[in-house]
Amino acid sequence: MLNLQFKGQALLEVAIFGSIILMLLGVLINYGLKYNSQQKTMQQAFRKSLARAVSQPGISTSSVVVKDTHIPNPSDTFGVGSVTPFTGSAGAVIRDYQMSETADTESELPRISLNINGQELTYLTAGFRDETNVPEGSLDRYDEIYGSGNVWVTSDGECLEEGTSVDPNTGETATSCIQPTQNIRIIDYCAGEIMDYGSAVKQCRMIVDSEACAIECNRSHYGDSSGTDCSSVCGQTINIPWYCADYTEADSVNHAYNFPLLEQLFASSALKAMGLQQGYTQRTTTENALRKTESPSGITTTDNLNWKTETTRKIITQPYGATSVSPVTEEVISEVAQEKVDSRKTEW
Amino acid sequence: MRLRRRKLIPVRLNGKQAQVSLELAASLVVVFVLLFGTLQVFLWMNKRLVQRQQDYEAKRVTAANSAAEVQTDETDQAKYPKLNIFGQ
Repeated sequence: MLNLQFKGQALLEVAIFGSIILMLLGVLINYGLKYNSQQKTMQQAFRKSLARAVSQPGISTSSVVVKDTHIPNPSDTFGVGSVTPFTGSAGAVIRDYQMSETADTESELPRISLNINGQELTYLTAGFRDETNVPEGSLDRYDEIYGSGNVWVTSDGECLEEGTSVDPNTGETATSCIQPTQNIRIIDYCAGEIMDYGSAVKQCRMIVDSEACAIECNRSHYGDSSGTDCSSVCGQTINIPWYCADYTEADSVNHAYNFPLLEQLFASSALKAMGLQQGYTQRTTTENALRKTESPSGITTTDNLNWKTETTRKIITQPYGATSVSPVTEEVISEVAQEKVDSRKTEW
Repeated sequence: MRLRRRKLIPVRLNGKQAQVSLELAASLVVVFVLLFGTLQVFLWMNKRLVQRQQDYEAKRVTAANSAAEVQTDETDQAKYPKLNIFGQ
């Protein structure tokens, strides 16, 4: 006697477990494609930096490659899955004989190149800042804060104090400068189109607080034989750049300060970061058309699926040479789209 | 105390002999097809990973001396075959 109650149980079980297996297959495909795309973008980013080291020697350019890749979903009829972004980044590649070279002109300043799905965008990560009439003693503090390779004298400045001397033999009076000054140029990593919040705060602390400067100075010279007297170097007065202005002291013991202009500059970024923002928005539109054609031989069904995913990213920068809070938010939109057609015929 | 003997219940087959084997046979076919597909996908991905790294390393010197970007060429179908699970 045949028990019909259990007919098709095997098929039912396959249908249930099959869907779980399909889901697992999707996870595995995702895993494999992820590693493939990650490897590809990392290699591309490094080769971009390497090519620039040859074509533009002496210019430090880091590269970031962002590529949106479609990861198919095996559970979907058309295999439509999600669009996943892959990011590869490479630091600046510099030829060894140019390691100690610094930028002399604007075109030689360090920069970052962003390649977002083929759209190439380049931003300066440092800029020049000129300071005039810097007393000789203060030059050491500029060296300490901005790095000795990033500060150089461009011309002589005004004389702060003149003295006269009389030649005992001739009785002639000669005037000479007792306190000469110099005009300097600085490669400031906070004066580019993209600046780092943490570095800017640290730099401002060293500029506005002599003790904080001495602490950082001692830390950086610990164990070296330069014999730098950090208290003396940091005791000199230097000019405060625009982004450190209007500061208030928050904690005198820990040398913590509030820099309102920096806060305003980074206000539009949740993570207080300039450049390409981590977050992005994706908008997927799907167009599905089903067409049935009846003929004497049977029915032909054509499923048409067009989908498009638009990813909008934000890049926050400041204009080069800005001297006030003026962040610029740029939107970069990239698109991944597919047209899928599935046609099948059923005989009468 | 006397132990009570359990009453044996006779097994009623009701025509369901080898039902489990039948179900297993049917589902194993599907499971093996899926496993085979997964294996093929992974072999394809692994081959591409290895091949790309090999090509990348092979062009190190050329890339370091070229002003143009030297990227891995993946258009060669012999080296980078398309995913073909069942065919060869």
